[in-house]
Parts: sequence; structure tokens; C-alpha cells
Amino acid sequence: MSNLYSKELIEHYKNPKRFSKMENPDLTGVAVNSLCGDELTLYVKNDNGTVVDVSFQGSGCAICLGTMSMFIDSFIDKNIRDLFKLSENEVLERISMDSDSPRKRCATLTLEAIQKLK
Amino acid sequence: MVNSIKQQFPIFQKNPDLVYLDSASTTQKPEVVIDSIINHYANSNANVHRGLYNLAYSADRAWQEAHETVAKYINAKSYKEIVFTRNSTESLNLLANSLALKEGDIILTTKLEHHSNLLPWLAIQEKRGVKVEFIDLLDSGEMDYDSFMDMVKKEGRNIKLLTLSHMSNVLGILNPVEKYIKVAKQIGVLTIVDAAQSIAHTSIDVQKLGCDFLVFSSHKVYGPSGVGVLYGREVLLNDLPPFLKGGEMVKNVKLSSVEWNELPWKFEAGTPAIEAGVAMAAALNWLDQEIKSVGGWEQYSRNEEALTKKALDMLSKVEGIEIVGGGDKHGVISLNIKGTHPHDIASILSDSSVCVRAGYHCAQPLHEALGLPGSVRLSLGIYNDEGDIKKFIQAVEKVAKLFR
Ligand SMILES: Cc1ncc(COP(=O)(O)O)c(C=O)c1O
Repeated sequence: MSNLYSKELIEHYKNPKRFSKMENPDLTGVAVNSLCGDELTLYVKNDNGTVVDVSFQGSGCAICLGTMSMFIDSFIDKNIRDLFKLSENEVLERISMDSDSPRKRCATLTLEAIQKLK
Repeated sequence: MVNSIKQQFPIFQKNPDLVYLDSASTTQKPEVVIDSIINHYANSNANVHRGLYNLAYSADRAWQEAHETVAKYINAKSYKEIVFTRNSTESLNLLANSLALKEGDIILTTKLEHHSNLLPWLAIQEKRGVKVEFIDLLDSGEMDYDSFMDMVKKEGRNIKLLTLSHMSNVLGILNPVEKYIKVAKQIGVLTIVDAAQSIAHTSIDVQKLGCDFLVFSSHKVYGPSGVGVLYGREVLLNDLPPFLKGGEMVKNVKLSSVEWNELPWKFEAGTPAIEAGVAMAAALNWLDQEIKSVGGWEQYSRNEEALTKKALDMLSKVEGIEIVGGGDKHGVISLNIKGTHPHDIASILSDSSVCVRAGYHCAQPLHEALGLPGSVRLSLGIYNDEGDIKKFIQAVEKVAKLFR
């Protein structure tokens, strides 16, 4: 748990990357964790199946917002189909979270936002 | 200094580093309570109200004695006024279901209620067309007496029920419910006191409070979970129809008519959590002794207030701390750290074995009224001491620094 709140994660939480609303996105994914009220909205612009622009908005804890911020730059230039392949393990490993952490849902909200893209 | 009360709790003996500051959620259990449960099953187990053999008879006795203990503890006139339910929530649902409230009747409550003293009323508002109205809160979170009096003047005889939390589970303020009950009585309004929090922080005397009904849960006053109490004045309980129907609550069943059992059994349908009811009585007897040994409830409150104040003073020195609401806090402090989500705070505190609750604490409307996205809550029990507060503050400082 202690490794979870790394300087990096907290920095991402305080200054999240690509944190803005997108005008006319091609795809939008909204994920809500109603248990704690956390929310993420992911916006994607694609060109022939390739992500050309991406941004997100949301409110929630450091893990929820920080995780999305840590990954979002890597979405650029990816094939949309590859975006969907991001796995739970990759996410948990990146933020040093155990798979039985009570906060897992906060981290996987990023994945849920991707899955909900439409 | 050795904390002699902590030594009576197996959980603290086994986990000496545990800093448990979530007693408003549920309290830890002293050994005598755990022993009472073991003893019940090892020596006295039988169903209640049924058997003619000795074991069953003594289970019956223990069950009634548990009711008598609760009656004495809250100064009810008789065990007949004490109904065992599962918890405060069930007691309040029982009342919402059984009280004769009809279209046009007004239920007065506040915006600081726990969801359990809100949702049952909102449900009958929808179903039966009664109206739920809310007494305003001052900025401190204290109840606004003027707003209450305005409603009394405006709505007068349409008000049929006043249901108030005796102590806020978020703000720790003891609400002066007696004052409100007095007014309610003058205009013939029924009154309910939700003592779920206050039961572990002050003496409860239903006759002094003057309320018609009062509810609390065993698990918040050092007893086991699975049992709670509904106190009601005997004349009122007599007229109230039962909420649940089945075994144990009837005297005479014909296919054409039934005769309910006597009070309080009429409201205790089905086999109850017998060991829990008996252990709740053990908890109250134990607490009564402990409180006497510190010099009574007034002294206990003074000690608790001093500890609360110490925590508040130390917190005020930590940059970025925002305390939720004002008023006199009785062992419960809710707070936020600027720029930090309550769930992150609680998670990080957990690394230092500090247990606090984070979120809305089942009082979302109160947080909304105060414009807050939740909070972190520290709540004291009889076992907490200055050492716990110090460890809490150290952990909070760590969080504040991390997010600064
Ligand atoms: C003020 C208040 N009322 C009612 C309740 C509900 O208690 P229970 O969950 O035991 O039914 C609580 C519990 O947190 C409370 O704090």
C-alpha cells in the first residue's frame, strides 16, 4: 500500500495530463464508481482507427485520476483496438498495486472508461 | 500509563499497535461481552418463548432479563417498553411502517440525519403521501431552533411526527433534543430520538428526554451486532400494529382471527439473535460499571471533550486541515485535507494502523448542505487515549505533506 502513493502518482493527481473536455470527440467513455462517487470521462479522436487526440475529465481520488493520467499519453498513435487490450495486470503493475487491494476499483476505473468508449 | 480499559479488549491485546478511531461505525467488544456470547452457546442455548424444559425456561428468563437491563439502562418504566430489533435502522423502519401516518401529515426532521432516519420516511412520503420537512441547520451544523419554531407556527397541527438524531455521526454535536420535544409535546406531535450515536457518549434517560420513541444499536455501545432497541411508551406500543408477523409474536392463531402477544414480544417476530440480546445486556452492565468507575457520565464527557479538544488543537496546526462544522464535538471529528480525497487519506492512515472512516458516513444530504464531497472521520470510544490521538496526528501530517 505504501508504494501506492508514489511521488509520481501524486504528481499526476495534482497535475493530471490531458485533463480537459474535448469538443466533438469521436468516442466518449464514461465510467462511474457509484460506491465512492468517482467518475472518469475519456475522450478520443481517431483517424482511421488510430488515436490522434485524447483527453479526460473526472473527479475522484488520487488513484482514480492519477492512474488515468499516467496512462493517457501512451494512448496517442495507438490503434483503438490495442487500446482495448490494456490489461488489469499492466495497470496494477504500473501503479504498484496488489491485485487484492481494497482500492483496485479506483485503478481499474481507467480500464472501464476505455471499455465504455463508444 | 497503562490504559486499563484497553486491556479489557482482546482486539487491543492482540494488536497493541492498532489505533482504532472508528467507534462511530462500530465499537470494539470487551472480553465480558465476548464471554457472554460463548457462555450462552456453551451453557444456555435454547429458543425463547417456546420450551417447557428447564434449559428453555432459563433462556426465556435471560431474554426477559436482557430487556429489563436495557429498560433500567435508559430509565424506561418497564421491559414492556423495550423491543429488540436488529439495529437502529430496523427500529426506525418498524416505526415508519407501523405508525398511523396518512396523506397530508407532516414529518419534521433535519438535514443532518443518518440515512436510516431519512430513507424510511422518504419511502412513506412516496407511498402514503405524507410530507417530510427539514429543519434548517446553522453554519456550524447545529440545528436551527428558529427554523423549527417557524415550521411549528406555519404547519401547526399538520405536523404529526418529529424525528431527530440525538448526536450527529459526522459532527459529533449533541443536539438539544429535549427543547424540541417539549414544544412537540405541547402540540401533540409524536417524537422519536435516534440515539444510535449518543448511547455511547452520554447518559440516556427516556423519561427526562420526554420522547415517545428512542432507538439505538447494540454494536455502537460495545455490544454485539445483530441486535438493536426500539423504546416506546407502553400506551403507544399497545396501539401500534406489529411490523413483522410470524412465530413468537402471537398468542392465539385461528384462521379467522389472531391475537397478538403481549408487549414487547408482539414486535419480536421469529427467532431473534438471542445470544446477541443477552450480550448487549452484558455490555450495558459493563459500561455502567466502567462509567461509574471514572466518576459518572459527566466526568466521562469532560474527559472525552478534553481529548477531542486536544485533537482539534493539534489538527489546527497542520497545514491544509479543514474541520467539518463547528459546535461542541463529543468524540467525533470529521475533516478534510485541502486537495486530498478522503479515501486517499483513510488509505494512507491505514498504513500506520490508524482506522478511520472516509466518505459520506451515510449522511450524504448533510455533506451536500455543507458543500463537501465527503470527509474523513475520527471517532472515539471508551478505550482511546492521548497516544491514539498522537499517532493519528502523525499520520495526518504525513498525508498533508505528501499531497502538499
Ligand atoms: C446517527 C445514526 N443513526 C442511525 C445509525 C444506523 O445504525 P445501524 O446501522 O446500527 O442500524 C447510525 C449508524 O451509523 C447512526 O450514526
